[in-house]
Amino acid sequence: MRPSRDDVLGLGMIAAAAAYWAAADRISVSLLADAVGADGVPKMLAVALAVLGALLIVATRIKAAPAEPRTPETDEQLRAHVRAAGLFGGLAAYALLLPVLGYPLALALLIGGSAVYGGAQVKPSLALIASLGGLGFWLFFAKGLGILMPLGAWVPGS
Amino acid sequence: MDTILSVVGALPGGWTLLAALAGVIWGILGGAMPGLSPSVAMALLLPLTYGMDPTAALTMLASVYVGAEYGGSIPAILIKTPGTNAAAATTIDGYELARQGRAGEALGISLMAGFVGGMFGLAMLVLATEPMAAVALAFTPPAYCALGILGLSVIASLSGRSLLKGLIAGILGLMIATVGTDPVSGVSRFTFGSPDLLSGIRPILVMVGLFAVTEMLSQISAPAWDKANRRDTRLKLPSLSMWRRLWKSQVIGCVIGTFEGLTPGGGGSIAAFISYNEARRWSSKPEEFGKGSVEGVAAPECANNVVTATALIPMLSLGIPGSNSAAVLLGGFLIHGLIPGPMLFQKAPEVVYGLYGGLFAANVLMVLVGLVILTPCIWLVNRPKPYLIAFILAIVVSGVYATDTSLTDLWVVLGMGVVGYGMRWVGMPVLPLVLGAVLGFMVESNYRRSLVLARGDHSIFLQDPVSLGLLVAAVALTAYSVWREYLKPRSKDA
Repeated sequence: MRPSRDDVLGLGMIAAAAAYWAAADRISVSLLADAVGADGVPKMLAVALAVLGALLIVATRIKAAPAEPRTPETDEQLRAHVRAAGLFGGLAAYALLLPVLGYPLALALLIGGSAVYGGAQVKPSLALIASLGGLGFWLFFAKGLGILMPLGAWVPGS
Repeated sequence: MDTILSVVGALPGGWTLLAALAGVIWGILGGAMPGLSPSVAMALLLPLTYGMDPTAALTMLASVYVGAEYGGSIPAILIKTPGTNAAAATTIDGYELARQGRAGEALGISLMAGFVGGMFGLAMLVLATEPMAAVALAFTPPAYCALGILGLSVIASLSGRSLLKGLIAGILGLMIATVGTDPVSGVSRFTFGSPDLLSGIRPILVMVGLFAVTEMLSQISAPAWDKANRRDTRLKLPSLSMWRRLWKSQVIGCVIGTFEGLTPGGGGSIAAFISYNEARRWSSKPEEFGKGSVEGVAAPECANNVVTATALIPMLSLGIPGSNSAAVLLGGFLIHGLIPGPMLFQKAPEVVYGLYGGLFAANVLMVLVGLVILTPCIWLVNRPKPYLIAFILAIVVSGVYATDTSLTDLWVVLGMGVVGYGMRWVGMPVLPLVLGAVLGFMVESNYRRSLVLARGDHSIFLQDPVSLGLLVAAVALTAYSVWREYLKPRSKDA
């Protein structure tokens, strides 16, 4: 029998619990530590997560599932995941480029890029809207609120 | 009576009224921007208050708090993105109403429920500050821990069809709350060497990621939104018959908001979630909750606006800020050389009563400004979807970065967006995770402090009467929710 999504989730949670326990086990012990310790509650949570993950798998089996066969991902669903991954890639690129390009330019690129990715037509007005967006947000945060938004490595003295 | 007369005498005029207006406008705009919490919106204004009259300065800060709680509901309803932590519960039914072309109705209910809650909370603040000081003093670490557990018990009702998945999400939220400096020993946990994570992962980042980023990741491949019907989305204040339907949920919001506001650490988020849950429990149409219930909007909005006033009670009476926003307001007091606490009423009563008057004005102004500012907000819904997505993402990444000028915060939000997307894929509810992240620190720190006090004896949680009462309430709430969701015999037509 092929595993269901709940099986995958249950196994994933057990794996996550193990990793979390291992990370908790590496927490240093302080002289100020109480009886529970800095790792006490995290380890309790790790156990709880593992138990719940196991229970989820068991519950899925008990529900027995000829009535609920695993439904394979349709092409449409897969396309949706790919498009979501693409948008995430754009956001990650923004985070990476922010210190290099600076806030106004990186934001203008994010606005323009994500609008095109979402289906907007590439035309001069798009570039104008994106540029005005980047500039407007920068004016609001940097000039209006006085927050230090990066101008980028290419701006002298920034 | 003397207190009430003092407040009437201190109703604001001139600069204080202008400060209240500016505070409300900034609060609504700040609250409507995902990533800018009320406390952040207040903190951004804090430096501006140095040269101001103390009453005007504190009124402005408190007005931001009032405005932000309403402002947070605007993106919650229109774009399923709570602008503030406390608006997360509003998202559930507010967005569903918007999808049904009833955004204007939902926003009108949110505005007026917030006004009712704000005025009720103000009445409680005026009447209860000094008497409640004694009650708040009785809160011990076991009681705080029990309070957090009571908040977590709501998970059972928020889990939808799978209690197990809801519990898993709750545990994941509690795990997120363990990141940062250990509350007792001070050692770092799960920071992976990043100094930015030493102060932990703020719940607002979790929420912005789970709600806003996840929604955009999903929307990018979803069909275009229906154009909102202008007639349907025009601001629609509740009719008399609607008020009759909403009274019960508002009473619930007022009671729970008062209780949570009075309780240091309670806050608008817990109040909103518990109120939502209780409103569903007591509703004559519980089946509408989650599918666009007007009561599901009124109860949390009423509750979180009650909290804007009642959260100030422990701060004013004891100097203990019960929430982040109250802490910022406390900072405003300190800037002007005023120390909140019992002596404040002796040393600067005019400031306290002036603040009460300022809050009254802020609530009235919230309605007036809200009537005007909603139209442009509703206009937003009809913009082309690709541009809307692009600008929502711009607001999110800008607001998140501006909060602490931290790239780590940005990565946390993006990471939570992916987590939220995955949770949707496996059918796991996200609200329990949010609750866990919000309450985790309070539960753990007070659990451990209690055990330190009791030398490891867990019976301290049963010996403390407040703790015992809260724990009994938590068990009863969980048991009832489980019974209602899984064991209650269904009627044939259900």
